[in-house]
Amino acid sequence: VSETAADFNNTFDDPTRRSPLITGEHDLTTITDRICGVVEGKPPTIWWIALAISASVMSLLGLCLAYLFICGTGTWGLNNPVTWGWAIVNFVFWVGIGHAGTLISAILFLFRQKWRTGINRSAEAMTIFAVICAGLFPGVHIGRVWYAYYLAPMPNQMDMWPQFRSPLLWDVFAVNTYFTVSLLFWYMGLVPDLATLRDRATSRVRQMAYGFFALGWRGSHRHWHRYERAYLILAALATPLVLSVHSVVSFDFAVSQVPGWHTTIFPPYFVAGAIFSGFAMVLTLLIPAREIFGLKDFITLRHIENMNKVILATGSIVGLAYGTEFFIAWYSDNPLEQFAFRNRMFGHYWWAYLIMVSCNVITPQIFWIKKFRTNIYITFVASIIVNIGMWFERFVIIISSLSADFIPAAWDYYHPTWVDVLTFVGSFGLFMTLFLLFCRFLPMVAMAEVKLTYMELKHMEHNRHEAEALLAEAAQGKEATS
Amino acid sequence: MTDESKTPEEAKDDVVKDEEPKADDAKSGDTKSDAPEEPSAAEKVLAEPSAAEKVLAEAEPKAEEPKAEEPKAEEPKAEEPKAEEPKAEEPKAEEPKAEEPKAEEPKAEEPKAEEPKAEEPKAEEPKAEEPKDDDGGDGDDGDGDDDDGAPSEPNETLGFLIEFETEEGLKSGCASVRDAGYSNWDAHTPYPVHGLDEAMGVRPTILPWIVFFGGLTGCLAGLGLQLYTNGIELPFSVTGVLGALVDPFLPSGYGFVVSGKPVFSVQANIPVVFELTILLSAFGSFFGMWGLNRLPQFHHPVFHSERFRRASQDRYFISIEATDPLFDRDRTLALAQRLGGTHLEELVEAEE
Repeated sequence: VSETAADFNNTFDDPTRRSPLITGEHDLTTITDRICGVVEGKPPTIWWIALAISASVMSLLGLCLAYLFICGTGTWGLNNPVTWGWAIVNFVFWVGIGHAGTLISAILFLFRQKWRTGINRSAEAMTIFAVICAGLFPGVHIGRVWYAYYLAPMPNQMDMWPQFRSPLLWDVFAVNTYFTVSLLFWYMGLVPDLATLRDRATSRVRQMAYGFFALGWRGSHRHWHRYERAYLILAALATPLVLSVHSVVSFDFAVSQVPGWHTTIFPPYFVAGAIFSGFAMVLTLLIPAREIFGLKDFITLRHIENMNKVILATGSIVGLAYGTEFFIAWYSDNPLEQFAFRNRMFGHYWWAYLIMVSCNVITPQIFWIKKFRTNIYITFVASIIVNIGMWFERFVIIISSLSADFIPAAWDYYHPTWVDVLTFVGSFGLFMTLFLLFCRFLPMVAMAEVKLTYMELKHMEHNRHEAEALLAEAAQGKEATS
Repeated sequence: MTDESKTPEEAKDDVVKDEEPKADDAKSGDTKSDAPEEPSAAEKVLAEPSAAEKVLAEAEPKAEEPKAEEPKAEEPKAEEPKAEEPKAEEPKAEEPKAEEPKAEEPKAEEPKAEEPKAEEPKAEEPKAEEPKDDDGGDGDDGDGDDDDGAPSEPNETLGFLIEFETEEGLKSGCASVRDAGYSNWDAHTPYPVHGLDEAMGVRPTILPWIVFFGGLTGCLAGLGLQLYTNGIELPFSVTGVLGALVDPFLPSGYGFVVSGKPVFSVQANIPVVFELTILLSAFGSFFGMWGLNRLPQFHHPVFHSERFRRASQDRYFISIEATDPLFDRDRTLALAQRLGGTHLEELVEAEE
């Protein structure tokens, strides 16, 4: 895998010419070679190291879950007012992370943002892995996990059904739908690229494995025709879906009566926060990945800059939402509401609130400056800070509101236990392990889509040259006649 | 749809346009091929432009038929022509064997095809690798023998594969095949080439309807599910032996009052209805697309070609299948030669 020495700076904003989405000298052949090379070549040492660490951390998750199943949720730091602890915080955190993938793959597709093709595959993969991590927590937080199937409307001899008026059940449907649709969308995008890997395979095993999942794709234009249509429809379906998912997640809180939760701003505020954290996670993953796997030509500085702009925008929306919440608490003249927000900022959890605001509102403001937006080191650090901040946002919302709800006699301070902490850390192990395996065994960049964009831009360039030539000719003709 | 209406006129234009240069190409290509024994065989084929013109002349009235495209996808490929073909070719069937070189004649063009490529060293690398994968590739398709019914002789032609290096070449090639009236043919590209729909006469897909009905089903199912489970209770209960039989399959709903709110209210049920609508629409889109595309299909004549591996990477192909009603080995070959591709290959069942 050859690498370009330095990042080619394609972040210029020159209205007379398009900045290239693929840097370096490329044609269809080299695009294929480079992207398939990641899967076909030997993995770099650092990949093995990262996988070893991630897998070890993931095993922590397994141990913690086993301990939880044996001993029950008493091993967590839950207490009487705080009956929703880290499990829900982690759930909201992970679901939120997933949103960037769908935003990139579906919403940017509808907006015809061609730069998305460089990053959509890995972002969608990230979505799926994040939702897997998210789904874990509500699954195990019910205590007796062997009754998890009661979440689904299963006919049973007791005529006992889920309560469909409960937001928690809406959540079950929203998250499951989200996971399923994301998976279908992702897999559909993968099929033509899997066919490429099948066709390039040199070993029987590879050929069989990729061939099986490629479904016999032969690049037929009659197939492409319906494929593109299906892709557009899925994008159009995924767009309202992704907005609905975090809205429904926020209903878990907003539909309840707890002061600090019972607000109508929650759905848009949660969605903005989700996109914010999701983009940060995409950057956290892709900045090292493009370096390690030599994909700088496809995941360029411009991609990073664009994502930073999204982070800046959504971070500011989140900041505005924090402010609005406080304003409405004051304006509502509801003493419980007012107390909840005073308590959030100055109560026992002031430190968490401080972390949240400084990470989520202040940090992204550096991206007003182009120098910071296009510096991958600063971006990488900022993306991690944003992730920390967004975890704390959920912590603040959930824990601070619950720990001091209605009756002061019931208030209690919440302490996580080691099981809480290690389970959360372990979920990162699961996430990273899945992502590393993805990088190694599946094409990280959507080849067919990159090729399409590449050829479209090439045609455009060609047409522009022709038009310019014609114009020049016309101008000459004019001169000649005058 | 408009394509079809244009076809007859366009057909003439295109034929006239395409024929001359391409016939030249073919000739020049053949004169270049150095194999001494071949000229006779090659000339035979080349002598056929007249024959090919006949084909076109015949095809023209039929050119109104390209409609066949979509229906074709839905019907099990017309078996009659297949049945006829072997008969028609039976006398010839000896020939291809005897004249193996003829069958391979297109391959004899390979050197010609490589000449331009020699200019781009990149393009040749993968080619050099290809032979290694030979066995794997053929092995994969080995079990495909039973795919299309009639057990075929090892060298029976399955169709032709024409390779192109540019989108433009592919498009004009597609237009020619379309105008010749073929229905069982296809273009293969590594990414969706826009503008090929017109060149191929591909009609809009019915997929959106499938999605619509999927979504409608999801919507109604979601509403019905919630109404049944939370909103109503069966007004009767079946007892006795019958009850024991029926009960597990006909559980009653259970109206559970929360905070004095109505047992069933549409507002509270919207999120689940929405999610199920999206879910079933997505299923309709995903599974509908694969269904209409008739995938998974792990065996296909084009997979017999080693070169075809580049169809998913950096080359464009047109395949004309022998199952096409208009397919006639010689005449189709003549057409294939006129398409202006850089390489022509006859698809045959893998030996061994």
